[in-house]
Amino acid sequence: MRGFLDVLRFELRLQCASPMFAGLMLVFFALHMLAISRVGINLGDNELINYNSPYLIFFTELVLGIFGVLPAMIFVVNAATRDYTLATAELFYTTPVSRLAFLLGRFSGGTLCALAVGLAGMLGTLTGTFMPWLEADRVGVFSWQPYWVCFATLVVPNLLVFCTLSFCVSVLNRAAAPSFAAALALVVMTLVANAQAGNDAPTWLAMLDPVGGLAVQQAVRYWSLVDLNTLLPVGMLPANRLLWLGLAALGLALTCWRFRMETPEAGKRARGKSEPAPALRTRMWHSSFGARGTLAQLVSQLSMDLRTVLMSPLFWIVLLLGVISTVSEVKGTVAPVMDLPMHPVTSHMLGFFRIALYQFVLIVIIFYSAQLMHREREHRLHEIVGASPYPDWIMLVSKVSALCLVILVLLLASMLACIGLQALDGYYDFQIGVYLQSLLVNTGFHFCMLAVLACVLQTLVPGKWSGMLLVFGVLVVLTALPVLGWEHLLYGFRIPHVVYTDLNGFGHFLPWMYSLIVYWGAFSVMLIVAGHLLLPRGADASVWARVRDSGTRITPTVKVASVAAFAVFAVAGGWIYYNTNILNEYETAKSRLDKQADYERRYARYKSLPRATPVDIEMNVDLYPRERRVISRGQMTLRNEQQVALARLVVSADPRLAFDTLEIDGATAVLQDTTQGFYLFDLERPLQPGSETELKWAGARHARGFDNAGADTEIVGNGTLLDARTVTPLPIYVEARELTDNRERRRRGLASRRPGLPSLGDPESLGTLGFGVDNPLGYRVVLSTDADQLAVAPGELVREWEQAGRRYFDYRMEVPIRFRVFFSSARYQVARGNWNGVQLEVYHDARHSWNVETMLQTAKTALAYYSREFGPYLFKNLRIVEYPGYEDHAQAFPGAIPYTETVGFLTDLSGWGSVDLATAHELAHMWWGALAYGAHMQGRKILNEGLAEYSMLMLLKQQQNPRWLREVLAHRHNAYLNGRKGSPVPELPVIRAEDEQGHVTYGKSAHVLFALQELIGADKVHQALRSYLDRFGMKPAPYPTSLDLVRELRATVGPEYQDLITDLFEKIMLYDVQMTDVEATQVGDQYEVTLSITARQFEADGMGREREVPLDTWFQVAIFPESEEVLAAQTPLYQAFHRLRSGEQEVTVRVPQKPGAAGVDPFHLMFDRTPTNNVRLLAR
Amino acid sequence: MLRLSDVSKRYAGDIAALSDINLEIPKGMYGLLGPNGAGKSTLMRTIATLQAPDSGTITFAGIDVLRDKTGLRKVLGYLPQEFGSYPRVSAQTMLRHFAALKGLHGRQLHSVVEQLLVRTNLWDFRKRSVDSFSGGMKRRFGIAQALLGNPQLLIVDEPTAGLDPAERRRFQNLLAEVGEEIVVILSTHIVEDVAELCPRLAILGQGRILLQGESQALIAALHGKLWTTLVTRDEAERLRKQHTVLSCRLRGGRMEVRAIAPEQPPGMVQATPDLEDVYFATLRRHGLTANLE
Repeated sequence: MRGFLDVLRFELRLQCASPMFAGLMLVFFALHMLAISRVGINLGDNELINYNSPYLIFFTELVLGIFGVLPAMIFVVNAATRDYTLATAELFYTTPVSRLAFLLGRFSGGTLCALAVGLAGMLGTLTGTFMPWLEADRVGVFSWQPYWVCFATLVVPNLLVFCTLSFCVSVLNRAAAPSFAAALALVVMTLVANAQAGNDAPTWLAMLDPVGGLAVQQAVRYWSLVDLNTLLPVGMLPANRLLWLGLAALGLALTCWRFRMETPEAGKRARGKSEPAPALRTRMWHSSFGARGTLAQLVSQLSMDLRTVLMSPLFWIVLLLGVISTVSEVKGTVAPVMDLPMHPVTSHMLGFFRIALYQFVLIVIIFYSAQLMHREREHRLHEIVGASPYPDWIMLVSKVSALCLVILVLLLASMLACIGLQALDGYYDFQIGVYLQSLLVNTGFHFCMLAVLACVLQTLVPGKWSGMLLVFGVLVVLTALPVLGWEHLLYGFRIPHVVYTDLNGFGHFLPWMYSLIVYWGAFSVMLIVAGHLLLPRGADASVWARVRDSGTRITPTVKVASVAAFAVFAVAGGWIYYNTNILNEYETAKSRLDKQADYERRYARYKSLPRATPVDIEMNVDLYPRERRVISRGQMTLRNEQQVALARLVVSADPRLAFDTLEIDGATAVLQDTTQGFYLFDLERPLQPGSETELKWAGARHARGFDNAGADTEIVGNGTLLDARTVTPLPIYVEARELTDNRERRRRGLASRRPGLPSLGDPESLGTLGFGVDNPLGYRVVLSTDADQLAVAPGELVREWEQAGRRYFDYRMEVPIRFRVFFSSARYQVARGNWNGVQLEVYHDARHSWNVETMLQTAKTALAYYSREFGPYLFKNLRIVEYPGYEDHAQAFPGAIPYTETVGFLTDLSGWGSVDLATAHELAHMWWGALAYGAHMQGRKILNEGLAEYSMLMLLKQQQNPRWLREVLAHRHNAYLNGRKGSPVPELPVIRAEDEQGHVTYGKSAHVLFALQELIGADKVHQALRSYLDRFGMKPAPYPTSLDLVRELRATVGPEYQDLITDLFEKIMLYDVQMTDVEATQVGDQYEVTLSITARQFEADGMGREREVPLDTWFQVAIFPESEEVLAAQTPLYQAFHRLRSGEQEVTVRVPQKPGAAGVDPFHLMFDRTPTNNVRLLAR
Repeated sequence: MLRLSDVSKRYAGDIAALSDINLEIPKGMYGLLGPNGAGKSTLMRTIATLQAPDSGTITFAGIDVLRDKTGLRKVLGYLPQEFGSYPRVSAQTMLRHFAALKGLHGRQLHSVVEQLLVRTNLWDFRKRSVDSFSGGMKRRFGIAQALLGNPQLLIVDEPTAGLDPAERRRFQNLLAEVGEEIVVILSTHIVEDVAELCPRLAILGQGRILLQGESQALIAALHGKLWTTLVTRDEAERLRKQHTVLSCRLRGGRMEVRAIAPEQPPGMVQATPDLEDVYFATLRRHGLTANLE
């Protein structure tokens, strides 16, 4: 015991004295404090979760703790391997301290230091929840409990597990690298498992998660907001901790048993293969110092440096993990609709390298820059090497090249893995050139730049540990810059990721990227020169002494190199500045908000000015995709539909649209604000009610050069997609441009406003849809583009011609439409079809033809079904148009649906028959959207997205295979219950849902409507929907609200279902039904099945506080045959709704065949937080 | 010919590492003797271009060492007091790397490395990592790398420390072999090394040259002034107080005391001076008494 305490005391004294210890404590404290109080670091903010809620405390620890584990381990590894690195092993092993005391003393010392760092983090969390800048309403009643429980169940066990692992591995291997590798492996496996499993992890996996993240996730599954704020997310955490602490104890015991206090036997005697020694010659040799000699020096040094990295197991583990991470990112990225996989096209793969490899490359840069740069000194070779006649620059160039080559190896390995994935999927169009350009040039250059910076930073510090901390710190600062509003490319030291899309390739981003490469390349050369001047050679000297002495290294070559680099840097910088700040406006996130605030401050006073109504638009739009220019000319008929005469008219336009002319007949411009795109006209003679005037314009929108953010992806070389409103002046004040975030409003002196939508039924909002121009109008466009492209817009194509090397398309709408129009242009391939005279066209990239047939098929089925059930299709065409995958988006316009390539065209639909859910949903918007669109208030999305989603479910119900529908229902059931805790605003009942509540608007509303039609029949529900369309389809204001929809439903469903409608649409109800027992007895040739069912119903408030209410409603009861198949694929022997009441009850049914399983609500029509106990198998 | 004029170096805290060093070192082996901390290694590193002096000049065969560092490095072989190796790298690979850094390449590089491995008796061990070498093998490896590329100036810093007698002998032979044609500076605190190898030497103490010259002449200068006797410990203590005692050495349980005096002290007989006596006498004269036990 004495011995143990001595060793421990010695260890603690040594470790605590190191600057590393204090530094890490500080970093951890700061990191936790800032993260939980939302300064700079943002771990997914939900404003309804308290800063000091148990969930957020646990979550913060899970996110930050896992990364903290690596540096904390340094103490333990240091304790375990110090004797070998400092060659003091013999000294210690000959002292009379016992083996156990020695080992455990070292271990405890290192672990205590790590725990101190963990405690510092916990204290940071604690302090963070008291920061004065936190909103008072988001700080709950203080309790010590969540902090200490978190510390006891997460911080301490995790550190103990990781410390034990690294200690054991490093003691048994007598080296640090294997334990880093082991810890890293564990961390990454955990992260991957966490990312993949989410909160659906099976119990065994949650048990195996060494950091307990899955256990916490499992505990909070289906929790409500109030649960998150009040309950400890512990769940099966104690069991998990016991398992892992047990394993750790076992590992430690094993290590103590295996460890011997002896130095390793002097290595294997690898004698030369008894090769006879060559005879001695007396010839003299002469060195040569020409270019060839210098090259040989560089090559030799480089090979020695590469060797260090490539021979170290850590690197190979990092490489392996990088590849695994890439593969799991690629495989884990699914299409938005039903988590379907994507076709493995190269453009899809390229998006992942940056994200998947970033942390690994950073680890390599931080670790190996220190390792390489301090290597000669660490191995006491610096004197021999320093006295050799190589030019000074060789050493730095070699280290930098080695690090860059290693990074390239990492990138290439991931690339090969992706190519392997493609080949496995039977996709052989690898596009190696594109891979290389994206990986090596774009991403590779970015990483290599960081490598140069890291190596040069190492010359400023005396040792590798301090070097790692310095590089880490600098990288953190670089990452934080843009977040803090320092966004300019000229000082960001980064080459942003350039998205490659199949349609547009690298497009206009290439000049942007190459300019930055030249700029930062020149800067890197300057960095290398600086590093060259500072690099220590020979004896130790302080940085200042080296700065003083650097004069001797300023050779003519150095001068020329630095002057040339500086010249290139300056010229490239000037060129970038010219593009970002002169050709374009330099905008930051903040300046954009300022601009929005300015628009409101100046012009909101015109909001209430009676406005003219556009009733007809005729325009010519000339697209010049290569020049990224569009010319827009046209005229708009404005009619006074108000009760009063109009003397003054406002006009707003996208500020990017520069007008040559903008005039209104009989009016003069009194205000022209081109920065904000706001214009004011005074009419010479006021426009009388009912009379009309013309607005005429001619202008151009031209994306010149490149801007700082590279944001404009609307006008591109191939795959332009423009919203018509960005090239059309409109006679309105654009309310959508006002700031909505109250924090940002207050900061800019604007009054706070009610967050979210106007409340349901608000009479002021009944007349607005929120588009700005809401009324249907006549529309015609003549669209032109380059001769090799097709230009598409909604409407009927009346004429198409070529003139002066350009193609022209004349599109008209026969019926008035809301002004929701786009213009697109690309080198399209067109697939055509026809349904009852409706022209079906899919405009797509020639390589993306996988889903085209399915889309056409779905369109036909859906048009047939929707028009039968809801009413006739309004348009003569249906166009599905592909545009580049700069975002994931699908949107319905009148008679046309543009999809980004990643959404509809690359989804792997095999296994889904001939149904494309995305198309089914978007097509339904031709009824729920194009015909009737919800008034701008709560619940409006129910009428658009909710009904579209419902239509899609109904279309799926028509399919032969019931499994698809049931899987979608289960998916949606799960998504709603999960989505509740992520909701940024308190949950509202279906009819009042806010736009942000996707789990209600898309999810719950469609689900409950579907459940209702299962119960009362689709006929009745669709009768209500038709009646709703009759009242509101293409009708002027007042526009429909969710109240109108519910009113229609109430009118058709009959008196006994009124309460159910209230529960489903107007309240938040949760159900808990459970099949407690099932018995079957044979009666003649039939079977009588008795089901024991327990049922309860709860009403929840917005935060999820529940109150039990009496239950009296209908649930589906189903009996399934004996079968090996999954339930979703089976045809039930019996399926009917039964009226259940609160408490236990029995239901008896007869089936003609021997039953295998019985379920109450087996396909999850009603929201039940314990969905797994709804079905019971019968004993055989 | 290596010439140092007025070379001075101070470390932080105003500690004089070297003050006004003036030396002329011709071809052949040159010994640099001095107690630990005398500044030997600083001087070696300074000549080897690894450390810049605060003032003074150093020239070698027309090369201004402080200006044209690369010029000197091309003709320099340097064996530092302490050196390591990249881990898990064989002696042969390591030597090839050093050879490349010294400007050798191609076929020549391989044959030079082979020859040196043979000459230093490391051929059989060339596949072993340098870290696993014994002290003597490591020193021989050190000399092998120092001899790469035909140095005209060879600096060896404390080369024999910790070697067993046989290893030391072998190492000395190796040095003697090359020491005829070129300038070799051997820095050590072991007098025997210098005595056996170096016709010329300098003694360094507290950063200053205390004495320099040909060893024979320096020894001859003590002739007739050195006296010795065998006495008990107590008597030795007494003698030490009375005379300028250079060394006390145990011999067969009694103390052999050597003292310097112009006249024969009573009870002492004349002794034949050797280099060690010169060394101790010099230190003594400058008040740098080495620990005589």
